[in-house]
Amino acid sequence: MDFTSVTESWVDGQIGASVYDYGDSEPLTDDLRSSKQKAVEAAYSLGDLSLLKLLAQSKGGLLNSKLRKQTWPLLLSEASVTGSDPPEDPHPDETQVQLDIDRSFVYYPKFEDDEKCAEARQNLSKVIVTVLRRNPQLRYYQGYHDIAQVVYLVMEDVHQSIQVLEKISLIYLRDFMLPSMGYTLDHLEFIPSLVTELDSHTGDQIKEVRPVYGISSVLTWFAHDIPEFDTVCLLFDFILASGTMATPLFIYASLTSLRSDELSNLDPEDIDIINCVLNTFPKTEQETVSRCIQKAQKLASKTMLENYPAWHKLSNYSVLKTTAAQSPQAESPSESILSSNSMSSSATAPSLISSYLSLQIKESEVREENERLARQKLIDKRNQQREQNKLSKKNSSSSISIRRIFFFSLCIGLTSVILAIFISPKDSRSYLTRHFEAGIQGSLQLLHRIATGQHSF
Amino acid sequence: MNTEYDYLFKLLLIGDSGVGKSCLLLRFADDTYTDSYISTIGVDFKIRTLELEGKTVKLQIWDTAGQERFRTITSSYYRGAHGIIVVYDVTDQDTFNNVKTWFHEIDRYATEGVNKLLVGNKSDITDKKVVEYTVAKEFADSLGIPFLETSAKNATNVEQAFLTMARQIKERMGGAAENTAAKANVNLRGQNVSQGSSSSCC
Repeated sequence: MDFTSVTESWVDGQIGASVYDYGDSEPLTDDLRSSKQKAVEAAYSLGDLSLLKLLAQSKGGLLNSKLRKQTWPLLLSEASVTGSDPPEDPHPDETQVQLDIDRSFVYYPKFEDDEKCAEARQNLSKVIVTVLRRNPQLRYYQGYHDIAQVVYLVMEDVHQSIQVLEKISLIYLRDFMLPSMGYTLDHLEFIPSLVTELDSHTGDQIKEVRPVYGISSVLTWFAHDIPEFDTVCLLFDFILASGTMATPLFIYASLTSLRSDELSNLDPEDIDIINCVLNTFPKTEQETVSRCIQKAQKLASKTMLENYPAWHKLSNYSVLKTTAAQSPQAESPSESILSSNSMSSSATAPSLISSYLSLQIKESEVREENERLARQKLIDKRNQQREQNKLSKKNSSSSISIRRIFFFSLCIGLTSVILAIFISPKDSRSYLTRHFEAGIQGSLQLLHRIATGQHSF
Repeated sequence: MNTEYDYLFKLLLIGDSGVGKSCLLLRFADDTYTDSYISTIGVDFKIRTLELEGKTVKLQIWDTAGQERFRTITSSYYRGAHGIIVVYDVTDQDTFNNVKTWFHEIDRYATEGVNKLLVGNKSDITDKKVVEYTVAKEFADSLGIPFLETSAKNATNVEQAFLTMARQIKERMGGAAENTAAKANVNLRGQNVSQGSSSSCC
């Protein structure tokens, strides 16, 4: 069978331009699906990575687990890992891994019995623990198991899952696995700007809310929030083929902009309610995800993360910077198709990734210390305020008593003056009254001059 | 603006990973329980409105990830909370030992005078219980805070736990926390009517 002709005829005739994007939100027809399947198989056999990337980013993604199992390792072939045997020493996060493994495979798949589920969990644990033991500098985070679970269900094999997960971790998830959480928050900082880019009104609505609401989606590539395996896989296809960690942010921003109606019904002053709504991930059908991907593609073609202030806060070794250059969105689709067999074109050497990682870990340690100091400073400041509040409470009670004494003495003084006026002889009384009036007139004149600015002190 | 409640209390659930914070919340908010529950990543929340001493109280309950690395994020939720529930697992001694650290976190990040409650969850698993009621009670007494053993699975004491918290906050706040938004809304409506009629004249 001539695969080249199958690919070309498929690209030219069967789907046409929609190979480049998601086109409309209609699902693929059976005919198109089978054509696309042939094309993916052909591209795989030809080793045409550029075409595979395009197919993975077009309607229906890589279609099914069989094709994904073949293609995902290729999409990650630009980076190589050492593949050494894991050391015997346990990773410090293994207890946490186990706690999350116990809560894995909840939404899918449907296991025949508990035994099968236990077996899958055991294998998943092995996959995660091996990656962590091989890379002890990486920390585990809750949600990493959601990504690992999808990888395991696609690859269906412990060894291959380890390979794929290790590459995903080092190329894409590295920032989330550093000692400091600050790097994760750096990613989320882009969300409000990207939403504004898509829909300025919605961007305005959410600008006061800290974008922590996007954390579970971004950390897990939506696997935590979307309980449907095929839909999650579609997103994984898109992210892996796009080759950049900007993609989950683009998708999240697109999804948020699709919620504009829901958000515009809220009181814009009520940050609390907006935060609550943003923290609730909406029910998302596959069709909505297709629309999001389509929107994300458009967004990626017209904007770059470099344009936003959050870019300048990023570490130079952040995955958002190190994966940015690989983004196929920077290339035009036709060029990608022309450059067949580009599999080894932009390989990222393992030594490069590991040097990024060690630099990031050094940075992260400094950053963590700074964050700790900043938190401590904040706490000290608050404690100081608390002390001051206590003191001022005491002071305010003493100042009240001083005011009372002052007022009391003033009353006594005035009474004595009035009494003195009445008691004193008539002449002296008129003398006193005259001087009293003159004194008042003088004071009024002085006040007038002060008020009109004629008098200065 | 919301006129459906007299009080709005924000509660926070904290404690080690896997002690059952989300299950407690699910039991309280939706009266359901599932053995297969997913981990919480970052924060999550649920709302339930209840009647308390003739007043409508809306509880906005924030659930947090237990893993230590998420504390940078979850600690920012302490500040706005009226009440914080610290949860441990009665079948896991370590989770009880860490309770002290969680209270320390409250002292660091929460508002002064925030109401606290200690909850020992999974009380239905009697054969694996390792943290004795008396030990936890003694600890809670030493801090001067209420303590309850709960089971999200069979619903024991779950309602009581949240009610205890709500009642305490209501007592502390007195009339101060009563929904001023609701009253303001009445005034605002009045204003709107007069504004509407005057503008129609113009």
